[in-house]
Amino acid sequence: MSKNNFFDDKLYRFVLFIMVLVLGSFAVVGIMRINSSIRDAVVTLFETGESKIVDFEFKKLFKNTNGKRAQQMAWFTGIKMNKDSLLNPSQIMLGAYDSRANSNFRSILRLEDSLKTHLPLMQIYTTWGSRPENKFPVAEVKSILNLGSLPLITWEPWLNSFNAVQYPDIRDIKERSKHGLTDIANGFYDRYLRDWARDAKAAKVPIFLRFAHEMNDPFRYPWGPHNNSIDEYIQAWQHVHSVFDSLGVENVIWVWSPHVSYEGYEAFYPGQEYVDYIATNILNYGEGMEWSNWYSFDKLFKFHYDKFALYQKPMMIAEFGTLEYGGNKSQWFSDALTNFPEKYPMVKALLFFHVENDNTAILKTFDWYFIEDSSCVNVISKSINGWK
Amino acid sequence: MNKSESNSYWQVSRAASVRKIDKLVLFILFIAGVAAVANFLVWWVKVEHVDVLALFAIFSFIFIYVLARLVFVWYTYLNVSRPDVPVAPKGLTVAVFTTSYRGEPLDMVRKTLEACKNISYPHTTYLLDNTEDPAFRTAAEEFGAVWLELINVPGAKAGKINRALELTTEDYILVLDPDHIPFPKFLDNTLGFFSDAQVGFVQVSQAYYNQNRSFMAHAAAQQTYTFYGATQMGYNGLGCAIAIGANCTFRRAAFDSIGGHVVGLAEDLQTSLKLHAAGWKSVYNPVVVSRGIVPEDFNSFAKQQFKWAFGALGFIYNDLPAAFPNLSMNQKITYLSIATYYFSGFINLLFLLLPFLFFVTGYLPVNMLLGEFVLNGMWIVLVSIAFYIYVQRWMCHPASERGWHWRAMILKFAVWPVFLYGMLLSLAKVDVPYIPTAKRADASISPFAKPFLWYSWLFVFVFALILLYRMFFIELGDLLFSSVKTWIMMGFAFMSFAMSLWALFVVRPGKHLYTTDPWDELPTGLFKKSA
Repeated sequence: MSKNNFFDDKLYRFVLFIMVLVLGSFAVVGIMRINSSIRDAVVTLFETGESKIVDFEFKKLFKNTNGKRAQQMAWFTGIKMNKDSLLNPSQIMLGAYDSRANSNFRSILRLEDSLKTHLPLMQIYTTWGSRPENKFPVAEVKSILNLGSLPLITWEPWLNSFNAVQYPDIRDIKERSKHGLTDIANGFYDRYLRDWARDAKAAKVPIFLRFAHEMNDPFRYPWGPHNNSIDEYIQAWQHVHSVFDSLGVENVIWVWSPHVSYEGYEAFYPGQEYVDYIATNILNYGEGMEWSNWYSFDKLFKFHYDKFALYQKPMMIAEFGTLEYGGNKSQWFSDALTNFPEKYPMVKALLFFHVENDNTAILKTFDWYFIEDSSCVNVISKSINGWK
Repeated sequence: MNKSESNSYWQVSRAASVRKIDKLVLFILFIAGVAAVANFLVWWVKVEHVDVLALFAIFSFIFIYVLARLVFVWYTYLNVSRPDVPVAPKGLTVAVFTTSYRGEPLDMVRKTLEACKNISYPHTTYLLDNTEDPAFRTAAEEFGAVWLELINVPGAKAGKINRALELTTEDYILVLDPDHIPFPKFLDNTLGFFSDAQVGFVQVSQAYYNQNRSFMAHAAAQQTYTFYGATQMGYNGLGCAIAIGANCTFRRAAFDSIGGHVVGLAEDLQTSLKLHAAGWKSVYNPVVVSRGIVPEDFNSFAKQQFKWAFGALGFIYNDLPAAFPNLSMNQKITYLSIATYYFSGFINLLFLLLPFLFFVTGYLPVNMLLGEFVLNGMWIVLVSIAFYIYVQRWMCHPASERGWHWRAMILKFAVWPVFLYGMLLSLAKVDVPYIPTAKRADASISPFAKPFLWYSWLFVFVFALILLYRMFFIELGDLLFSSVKTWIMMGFAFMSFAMSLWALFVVRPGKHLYTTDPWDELPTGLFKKSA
């Protein structure tokens, strides 16, 4: 080449122009293609490394006595890797969701210390979406396992935080919730589902999965009957289940969890082969709401226990608690928990709903916390430690 | 360094030519690089990556700045050009200016004067002297140079040049540093370009003969190899070859048009800018036709770098705005890029402090998956490496200059406190006198070594503290969730710690290494050929 006339020749100018367009497009598409095809592998690689750090620190460095928690729950440690045993455990698996346990488990461990017991189950609430926090909660699950417990993941199919670029089939954000369950059943969200399922499989331990809970409540969540028909719900459930099956995910325990205050929930049952546990929430609002009254646990649950029993599945009280409007909190717990295993032999899991500032009800926030109420704590501790 | 390599030091050596295929390769790399940067930024700027908004904003801005600089570096390489050297016409009048200051080694100046005498194109050598030492006058006369006593001239080098311009009449002036040994064919490689009446100055490569005398010298020299190769060749292609103060041949008319050489801390860059703004063209000829001395110890290097860092900011505030409207777009970007290079000291500091900010407050600037960061950042690194390898074909003296330049990378990190200090003093408008670059090794511990000591102690202390806390005191519930973040940040801090240890090694004083001066080691018979 002589001097700088490379760009002066007309032909070269033309060739260059075309090359910029072609090469530039190829480069961008190429990088995106390669990135999206190796992304999972790379991210998994790093997450594996990260979980090795967590393991190493917990097992090799950490010298605090709490580390022996798993040994102290020997009966549970013996069955926790076996899905079949978890469907029929020898005693009730207690657990909790603690609203102060968002960034650590300190409060939940304090709760079990106060109750003089151990909580084999720890509940995580997580929502659908395309953001990092919508991914399978790898770190939390890992931590729960390191603590010696198992996770109950309440998995809420909110659809409004999906990025439309990554999910081209999905509808406009304003219309997304109407018949959203059909979109799920039609596979529009399969990419998310598959990612999540793969991560769940990679956790390699049983995971209780409570998907689309309270699906029969026509007021609360977008996946309720005000947006979807019963058929749509069942198809969505079956589709989600089949995506997990197709990826060979066998460590998930499927928890179907209707809201028993609304009648006709039986119609939402996805089918015997799609459900492992039947759960519900038993929360006594007392006189805290216009529509509510002080009800005992038995009043709230017994009738439905008998109906649930027909399915021949183990049962779970996924959210268990009471407010103190119009009654005695300690008494409520005492009535509920005394001789519980005899009264409700099919209930295999019971999780305290230990939530401060619950603002899921409009206009009011509720305090389900009881750790600071020593008479409550004593009553509960006495009851559960008196179980045979 | 082997013997043949050092023998070839003293032969004229020119960078390789730029072929069509080179342009094609650079072009493809450039497109790939832009795509990689675009991909990275698109991925980076996401609401879900924000942890603390203010921190995210600051770090995003810095990232974008760093990436923009990087793209410009690639753009420079894309424009790499090597001019054909026109034959120097006979009969031009040429002055060679070399300077001597009080305290400068006589032996070194003597070698330079002797070499000047051997330059084959007819010229007059002037020694611009303020030593008030008669030995310098004797030396000048011994080698047929004109001795000009220029004492009490303001502004050191540039001031002397301006005074000497008044005392002389030659049309072309070669400014040569007193530590540089010009080759006989020096002027034949520059004067021909002035046949184009618009050419104001011709710069050639700056090379060294003492880079193997110490780690520091090697590192400092390595930092310049690419600059005098592909970078300046790229500036040349952008119409913005920069005068770097030495080894530069000027047209007297160009000096006259801007009122002489600019006096200041970044006077070379300032002069270069003024000439470009006045409409003069510049040429960079990537050829080794002289060799000089590179700082052999960190103190000398730090002084030189401090001067440039300090001067660069003043350059942005004082010089650039006035000249800006008269520059071409390429020239604007080039000068901005050169002058903002020294911000890297400040940026380095921020990145060093980041992990400690997290340890103390728990704040993170970003909330992202490490794997995704690596995945998206990887492409930029790959393209950078490809460029790095490819542009090595334009080293001026490939036998000694090609390689990974890892010493230069460590030195680049080691110099951040210098850059930062220069920038801060400049912001505070502290008056700093002109400092000539040291020719002899300075044995004292550099004050710029201290930040590395502090940082190393800080790291060891914080590491021990966090480890003990997490082993014995933290509650289990806190431990598990904080593991990943804590140890990733500790990993970043450790990298800086390792770099700091390297830097301490680099900045350590090393006088014991030097029993002779570099100019005593020049090969014998260097000047015989044309003598």
